[in-house]
Amino acid sequence: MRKIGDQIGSFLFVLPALAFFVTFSIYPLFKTFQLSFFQWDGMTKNMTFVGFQNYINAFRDFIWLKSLKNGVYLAILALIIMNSIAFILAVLVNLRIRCSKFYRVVFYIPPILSGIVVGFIWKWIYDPNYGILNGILDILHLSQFKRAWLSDIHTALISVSIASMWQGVGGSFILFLAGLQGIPEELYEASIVDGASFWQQFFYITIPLMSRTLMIVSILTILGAMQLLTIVIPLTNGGPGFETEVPALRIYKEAFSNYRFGYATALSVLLGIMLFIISIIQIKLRRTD
Amino acid sequence: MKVKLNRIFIHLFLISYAITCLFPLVWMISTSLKTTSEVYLNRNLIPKSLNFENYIKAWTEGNFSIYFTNSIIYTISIVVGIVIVSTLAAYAFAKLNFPFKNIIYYAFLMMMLIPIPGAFVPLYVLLVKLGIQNTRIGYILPMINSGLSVSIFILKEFFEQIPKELEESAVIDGCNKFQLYYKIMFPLALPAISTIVIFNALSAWNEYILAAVNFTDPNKMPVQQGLFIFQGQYFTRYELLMAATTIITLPIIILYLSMQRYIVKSISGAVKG
Amino acid sequence: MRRLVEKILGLIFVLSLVFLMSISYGKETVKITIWHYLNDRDKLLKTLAAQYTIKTGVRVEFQLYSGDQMGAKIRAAAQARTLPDAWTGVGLKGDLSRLAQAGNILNLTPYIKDWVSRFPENIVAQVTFTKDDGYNVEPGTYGIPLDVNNMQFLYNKDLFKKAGLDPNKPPKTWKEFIEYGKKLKEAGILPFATGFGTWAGLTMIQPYEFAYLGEEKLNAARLGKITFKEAGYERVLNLLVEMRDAGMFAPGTATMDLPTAEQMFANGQVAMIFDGSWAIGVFKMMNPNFKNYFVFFPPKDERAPYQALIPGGIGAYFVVNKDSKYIKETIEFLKWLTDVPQQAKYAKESFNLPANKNTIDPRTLGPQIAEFVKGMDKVYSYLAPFKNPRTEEILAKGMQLIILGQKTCAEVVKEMDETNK
Repeated sequence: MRKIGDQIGSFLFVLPALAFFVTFSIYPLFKTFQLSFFQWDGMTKNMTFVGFQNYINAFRDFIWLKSLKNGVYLAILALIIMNSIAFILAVLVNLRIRCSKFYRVVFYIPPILSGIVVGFIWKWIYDPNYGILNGILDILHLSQFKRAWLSDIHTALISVSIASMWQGVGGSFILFLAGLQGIPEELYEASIVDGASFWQQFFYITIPLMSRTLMIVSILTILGAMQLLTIVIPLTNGGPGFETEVPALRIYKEAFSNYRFGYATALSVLLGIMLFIISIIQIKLRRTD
Repeated sequence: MKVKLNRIFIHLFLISYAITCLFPLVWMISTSLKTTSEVYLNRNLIPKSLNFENYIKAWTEGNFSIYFTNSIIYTISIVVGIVIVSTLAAYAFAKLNFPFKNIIYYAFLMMMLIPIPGAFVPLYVLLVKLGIQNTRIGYILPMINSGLSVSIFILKEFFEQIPKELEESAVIDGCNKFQLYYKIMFPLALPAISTIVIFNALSAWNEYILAAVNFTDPNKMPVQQGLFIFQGQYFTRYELLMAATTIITLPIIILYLSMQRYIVKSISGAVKG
Repeated sequence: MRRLVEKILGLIFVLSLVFLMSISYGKETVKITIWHYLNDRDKLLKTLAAQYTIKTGVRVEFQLYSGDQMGAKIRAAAQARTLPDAWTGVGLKGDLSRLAQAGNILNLTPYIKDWVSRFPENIVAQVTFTKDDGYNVEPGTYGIPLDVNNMQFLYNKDLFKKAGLDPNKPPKTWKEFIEYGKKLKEAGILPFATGFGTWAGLTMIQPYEFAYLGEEKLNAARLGKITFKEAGYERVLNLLVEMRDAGMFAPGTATMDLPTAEQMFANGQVAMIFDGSWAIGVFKMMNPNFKNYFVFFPPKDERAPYQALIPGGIGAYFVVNKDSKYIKETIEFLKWLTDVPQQAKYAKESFNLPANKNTIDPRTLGPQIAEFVKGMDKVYSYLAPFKNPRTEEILAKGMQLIILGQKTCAEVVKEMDETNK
């Protein structure tokens, strides 16, 4: 008896969130699932039921598959490069060196900037004639490495990736910083008494106790990479060719430019399922550690 | 000696990264001080003259007195709403038990993972059905909802790592669930809560699609709306746009400045206790 | 007897007064809401609206939203049936047809038949659907034009001089065009740029699509009735190869957007550009001192059998909500807005070509605009939709890759045909 009352009491904590979810999320989510089985242009009344055809077409769609490949590429780069930088920055700043407050603020400026500003700046940096990147190469006498960064099929994707990672470091940075706070000082103090060096502390205390935060950041990073949209449009809009197509951009274009709304929702569902599986794997992996 | 070298390298690394972060801000401000033709002709960082009046022009032409107030109202309501609702839910997922707990949690995760194209369309139809379209509450409520998934996800993990011993000693002292929540869990998770305050404030402040769809009364529009007046169909007045963007970026920076110290706030006091 | 008559007259007078008063109270103030995305003309439109209110007592409220907001707003409002009385149309026939099919916009033909002749026919044709045009919409006119434009080549007279070319003789033939490009390149000047990264690239080849294929075959190919290969589309794409091999494309052109190309042109960094008549206003804002440039019609390619037709036509136009409470009043307002005096003011202050053909006076508009106006009768009136909208994307991306030398014309045409099934 007491247990049921207890459970109801616990349930009340989730109730507000659930109320929001049921009101504002269930209907769009349900509609998305439902529409994925139809062919619909997004505006007129005629919707044709096509069963799983949208899903089947997705697997044959070379542009969609390329965008997935690009998404994975962006995610891997971000996981390795962006998060390493963010982690190092967080650890360093956390050492309470001088001016750490200054660094804490400055490192979060990129995520604060609007998409317009970031897109414009990086377009300018990459501009083949007037951009700083080529300008610096000239100064360093490395002119043979100059490129039309955003138009060249070999460099377009990585250029977009760098711009996006630059903006993303700040977010990972403050999450890591928050995570570092959860490690009790005493552990470090005790290890120093035992004669541990900085690196030993790092590998035996910091990293294991950050595993949860690392998982959160990984999941959010992968999500961010696969759902990247706002920065790609001003930079390359998916070009040249389809070199910088990313999943969210594909979905957006299919829905609003190509008038294939049903197909776009099927792509969203597929993407969601993929991300769900990846996230679950990461969560479970951490638990078994 | 070795320690000193290390310190120098550390600072070098940090400073170079800091420069890349500050650079856009410098560029924004420099552009905002140029004249129209200078923006396109003079690509240098240093403007020929300091046209501070661009800021005044941007403020008035962008109608910011109205939009700013609106954005502040929306952002505060949305963030407060998200913090309350998500901390309650995350606490429950982390520490309490109730039927269907896992299913509900994964349902929330789904929201975070599926990018719904044009989610604003069924959302708007719903708002019309509820009769709250073109109202402030009709904007704030769905916005609270959109921030819940990620916040709950992050917070649940942080709540889970709060040691059980703290809970147990509090229960022995006679705390019920709710007191546990606000006396112990909430303060201990302050770093994580500050983080989600910042994340959500940022996305609420920068949002403009749902606002455009929901509001037909221009006096209820948020601050991003003010930026569009400077972006013409064929031409953009960048100097005013950058002045406006700088103005808009300031409140977020100020918010971040005040919140970031909670992220590194020492919790050693509570742990020792 | 007389007092009775007076009383009755008095009563009639009072009753008439009451009756008249109730009529004017019963008539609520008419308020028309119009959404638009013409940022730089917001003030101008509001000024004109105020003028109209003073004249007729009808209140007109213009609300400004940005281009992408507009698309989202219209979609959502269409589903929820809360559309405004009128709004500026987004996109052309492709997008317009969806709105018409969904029953959101009014078929204006019966309402405007008395005055629609003030607009050039090929302009009205761009917002009119006919029975067999492939769009599946009830025939009629669905938009009221506000301004018009067309797209041609522009060139920098000073840079021409620098390369030893006659600044008053722009290229008339394709051969000359390529030769000029080579000369400019030799003189160290970037010959040409336009926004191949966006829709602007597609417009540049359109004159040559018409010149090589002719209107009939071009539209048949787009509708999927014949393949692009059969229509000989490869020859059109080959023009890009000729330009590329002559070194005419400025670096980065493949993914450039139009504003960037315009910036380069206004700064004197590129000699030629393909752009619309609205660019006059853009250049003026970008570089007020930039004046020594002029317009030329797409150079004639001797190998092409048909007349080249240029992209252009309607700029901004209004559509009317089918479920509006004030259909008559809205259309009345739009009629007034497109009358000669209002159009003259509009053109003068916004550098857009007015839709009302009676307003166009080269003497008040400046040399470049006047030259653009000359091209209005060569604007094509009908370009069929692609059978599969994705084909357009394939073409646009294909062009980018051709410019970069990564794909051949034959490959792109093959992909287009595969997609356009």
